[in-house]
Amino acid sequence: MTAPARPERPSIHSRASAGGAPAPRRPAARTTVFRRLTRNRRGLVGGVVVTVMVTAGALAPALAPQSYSAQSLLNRLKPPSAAHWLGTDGFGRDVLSRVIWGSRVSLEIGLVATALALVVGTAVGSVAGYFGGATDTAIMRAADVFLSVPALFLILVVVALFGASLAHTALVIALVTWAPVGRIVRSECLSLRNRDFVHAAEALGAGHARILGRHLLVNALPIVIVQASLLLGQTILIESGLSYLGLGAQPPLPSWGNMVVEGRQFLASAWWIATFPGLAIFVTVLGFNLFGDGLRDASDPTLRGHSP
Amino acid sequence: MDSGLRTYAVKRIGFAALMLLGVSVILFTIMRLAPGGPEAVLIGGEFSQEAAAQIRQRLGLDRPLALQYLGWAGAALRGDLGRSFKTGDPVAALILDRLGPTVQLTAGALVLALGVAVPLGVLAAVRRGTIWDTLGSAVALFGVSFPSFWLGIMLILLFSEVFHLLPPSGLSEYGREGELSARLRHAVLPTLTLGLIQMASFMRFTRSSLLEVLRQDYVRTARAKGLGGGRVVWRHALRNALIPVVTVVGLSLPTLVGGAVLTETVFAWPGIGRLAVGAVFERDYPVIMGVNLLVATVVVVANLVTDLAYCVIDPRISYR
Repeated sequence: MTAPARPERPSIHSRASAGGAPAPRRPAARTTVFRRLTRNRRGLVGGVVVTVMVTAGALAPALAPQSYSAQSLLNRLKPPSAAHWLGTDGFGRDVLSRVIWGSRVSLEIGLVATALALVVGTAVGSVAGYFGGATDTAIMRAADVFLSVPALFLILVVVALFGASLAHTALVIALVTWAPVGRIVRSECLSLRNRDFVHAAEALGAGHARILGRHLLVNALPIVIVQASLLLGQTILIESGLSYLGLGAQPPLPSWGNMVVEGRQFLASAWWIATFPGLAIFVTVLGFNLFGDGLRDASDPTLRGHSP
Repeated sequence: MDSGLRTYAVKRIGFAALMLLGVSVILFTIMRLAPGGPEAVLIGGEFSQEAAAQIRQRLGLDRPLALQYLGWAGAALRGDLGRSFKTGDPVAALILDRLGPTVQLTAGALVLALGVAVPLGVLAAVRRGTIWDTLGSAVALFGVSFPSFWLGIMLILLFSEVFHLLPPSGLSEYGREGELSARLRHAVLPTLTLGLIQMASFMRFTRSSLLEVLRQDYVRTARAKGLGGGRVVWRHALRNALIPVVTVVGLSLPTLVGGAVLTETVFAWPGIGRLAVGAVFERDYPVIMGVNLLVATVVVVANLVTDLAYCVIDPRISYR
């Protein structure tokens, strides 16, 4: 049974619709990609934003002016000033310090979930695309099931019932995000599988594992890397949504999502508490999206200007 | 309807039913495997093993898992979704009560998103490389980067706290019986939040799909015949360009409904999403199953209809 060609999500579709797969890459090609990326303004901006955020999270103990839990009831709800650049919250804690510490939770869960989703999606997608036939049908139908359940509902059920540890959250986010990755890798492998160099490898007696690993996956790698960047943005958004519902990191450990909730009650009197952590989520996700788009344009010039 | 299409439709419907079966089995198993049960929430505080066992027996949770599932599925097929553990109300009635606000919210957001995204996508594609294109890119990029709950809170800050133009949160009980203008005022901010988030993918798709179509021969033919630019775009190109957009609308339903959960929480909107969040925290299994089954059904049926519509609209698609 052949389902009608369904367009995939935007970032995916625009790549898949271009048809041609990239030629096997050599080191020279890689430097070109890097050079194109540095010339791509949006990609460069995204790269800088991402680097700043990751560095801030990694160096939080050194960078944050105060501890994330240091309370000072005399300094409650102070607006942004020289002493507290982003103001203080309802317990007199420094918002800037908490935003910096909060990046750790978001980035950790985002990175782990993305890595898991990429590994599963790539493995499953390449097997489906390479072997085709019944294997392909079975795998892609299973992916369809995961695409049909509203992700947030499934995550909500699992996290609420099994408890909101960082590992659980990352695991279940990966569970609902591997399917789109699987679809893209599959379509890439489908088109690569009939190229001459794959037939040549087969003729030379290469086994399935070797063809998959040395020929298909290596050539599908650029598209997987692009997906990684876009997926990181998505997983950070999902994590912050869970935190907002009270299912993420538990206070006093700050996460951007739970800081926004805490700020919600002071919205009328202290706008800065909810505004800055949310801004941090927005800027970080925007950074990953810009970087991903930039990478895509750089790795495949035929698409330049083709997708927004 | 020819036989090929009929076979395809039958297969596709069968698969949709299987998919619902799969979703319900997965959810049922996940819930019952979770540590702790509804008894802790129902009794509250300290309780004895006997009391817990008694409650589990009353709720039928002491039976084997497979029997519980079969019992639930059999009743569900007859339209009986069971009763809430917490309130004892029929689940179907609880859902029905919350359905209206969620449908209103998501439908409003969908209309708003399409109403802005399609014209903007067309402008971006036709005036490629101009300010319109840049504006379109910005909308698309920002839309996928905003955390919806934060966007909602920022809108409340701006329109309720600073300008005092609109009420910050929803449709409480009295609001639902209230007059139309009050209800509409309550709906503006939530609809705007959900709609803005959804706009991004529709706009991306309209643009890239129209760019694709504008390169086709028949568009050149239409231009060569001397038709005006506007007529070519709106009458000839857009019609074909919208086909994939229709599919994306169908596929975006999971995101839309998921987004509604957060939006409803931010605006205290009495819809399905908040019902689900509450039920999950209270371990109200029948309500969780009911809501999830409803949402999954809507999504699966929407995908089914999109796929079938696609085959009918576009004769080039082969259905084997």
